[in-house]
Amino acid sequence: MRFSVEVDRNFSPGSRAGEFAGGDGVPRTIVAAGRRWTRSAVVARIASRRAVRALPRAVPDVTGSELQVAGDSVSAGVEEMPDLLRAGLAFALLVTLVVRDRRLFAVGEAERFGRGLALAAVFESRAGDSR
Amino acid sequence: MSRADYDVIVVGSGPGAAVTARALGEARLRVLVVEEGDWVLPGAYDQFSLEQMRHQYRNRGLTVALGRPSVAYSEGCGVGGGSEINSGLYHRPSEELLVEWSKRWAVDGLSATDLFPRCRSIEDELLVGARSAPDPPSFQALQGGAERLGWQCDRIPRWVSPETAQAPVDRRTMSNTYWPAALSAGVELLAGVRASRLDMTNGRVVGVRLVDVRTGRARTVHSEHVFVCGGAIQSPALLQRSGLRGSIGRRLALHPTVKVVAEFEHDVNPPHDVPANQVREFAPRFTLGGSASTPALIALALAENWEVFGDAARRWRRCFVYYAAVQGQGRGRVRAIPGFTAPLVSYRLVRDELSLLREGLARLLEVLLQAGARSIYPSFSGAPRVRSADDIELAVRALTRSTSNLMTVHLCGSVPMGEDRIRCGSDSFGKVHGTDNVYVADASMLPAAPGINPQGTIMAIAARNVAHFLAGGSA
Repeated sequence: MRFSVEVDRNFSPGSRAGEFAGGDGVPRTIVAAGRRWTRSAVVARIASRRAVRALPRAVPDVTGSELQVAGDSVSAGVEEMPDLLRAGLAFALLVTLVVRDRRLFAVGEAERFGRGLALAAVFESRAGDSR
Repeated sequence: MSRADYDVIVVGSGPGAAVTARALGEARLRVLVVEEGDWVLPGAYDQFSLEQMRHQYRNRGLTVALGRPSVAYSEGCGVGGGSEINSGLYHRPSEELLVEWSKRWAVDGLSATDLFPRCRSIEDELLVGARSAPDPPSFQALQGGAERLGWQCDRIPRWVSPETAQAPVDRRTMSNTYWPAALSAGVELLAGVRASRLDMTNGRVVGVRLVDVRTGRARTVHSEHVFVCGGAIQSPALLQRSGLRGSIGRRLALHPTVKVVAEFEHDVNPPHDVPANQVREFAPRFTLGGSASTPALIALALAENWEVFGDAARRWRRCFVYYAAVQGQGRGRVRAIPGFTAPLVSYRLVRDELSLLREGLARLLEVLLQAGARSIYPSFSGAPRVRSADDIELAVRALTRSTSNLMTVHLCGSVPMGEDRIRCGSDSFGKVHGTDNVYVADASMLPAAPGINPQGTIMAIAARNVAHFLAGGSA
């Protein structure tokens, strides 16, 4: 990110609908939500742990901080994915707890998703360092 | 004075919405625009970075149309929509395409004479043209490969000046062109607000249910007319949630795309830009070109065969992602599912489309080998590394329904325009069939996948449709 972004939401002071969101054109900033143990957070944590666990084999020189970045990226990705897909992912992850056959129930798809996100985060982080 | 809060509410703020809202504002109507994402100015984030995806893509770009195979897709989310994040490549729709759409879908008033003046005005506004900065190596590679094969390779006009050593990427997006003009004309715009439903009575919309995405507070705002401009996925989902069915969300069209990573002997990668040329020798059936190639996206493209290909990610400066995008012939669906915010999106790839993808892949490998690529890594599971023409057939045979890893950035056709009510969700000028005052003005109204980058076409048709609306709806 080149500079921080001030987020304005209501671009129309005096708007009839404005008091409902933002109000009178007053800029608002996004406040990161605290960690909560919602269902999606649990799914995110499981997906993140699995992706990170597999990472040292894929990238043998991965560092601790890169693992952290990758884990955070997978976790945030799962929390922000469409709720319908996340429900499918939760089901696939649940299945892996009881069924070992990874051909079933899109388990492979779920693992591919986590691995791709983790790898992308590691290499973005490295490129940022070398820029 | 009517009891409604506004004359028009525009849902969404992408290119179709921007053209529409500005014209309505300049006609002195009371207009409210609601956008689910934020207003982020161009240049705030590195183009194609994961950080940009977090802030300017819907669901961080992690969305997929289910099917065999599934097709990953991404949508912009924020003021300006897709114009803020795309590659800025501009195509004017061809006369042949307009004739085909007019005949096949019974669309009135869609000739080149009707549309090209609108195109010219948009081209002037966005300063569309060839940019003066030197072409990046990824551009030269594709151009050279095509020339050696005697294939047509076109320089595509843009509304973006690429990054140079002296200047960052300069983009003419909606957020720095049409939206400032719309706001000056009195249009009101709220960001961070989602339209969850239209309140309909006897085919008339009377209000829009709005939800503040951060607080969850909801409120209904009343309006005489509504333009739904949320894109090819969100627009049909909103219409369905509002009780409108018929031919809505049943004909999603797209450009299925297969990608490869090409590795060269020398550095080719400016990570925050794409080459502004395309091999159009085989257009409109399929097009070959270069895609966003940040280190993260290269790693993602190699992830399908990481054990064999992964080492190339370390040499990302020598690598670039190229694609073959085919004109879709399959059909997708968008279905709003009760209890979920996201709709269920599916796509059925037809056999001819798979054959076309294979042909596109073969041509792509051919041109990249001619361009001097020393290794090419197709982005689907089980693909072999391609080093010479002898490997092409093996790679093409490896591309099957179960191995392919398809994606798209061009979605359209989910509320297609036309007078045939069986197949079309909206009339020739975007008014949703079965309603008196609900319109679509985004990619969903295109009758089919156009085979070109669609933003210019969407904007021109939106300009035509809003002019028709302001003229009182007469033909």
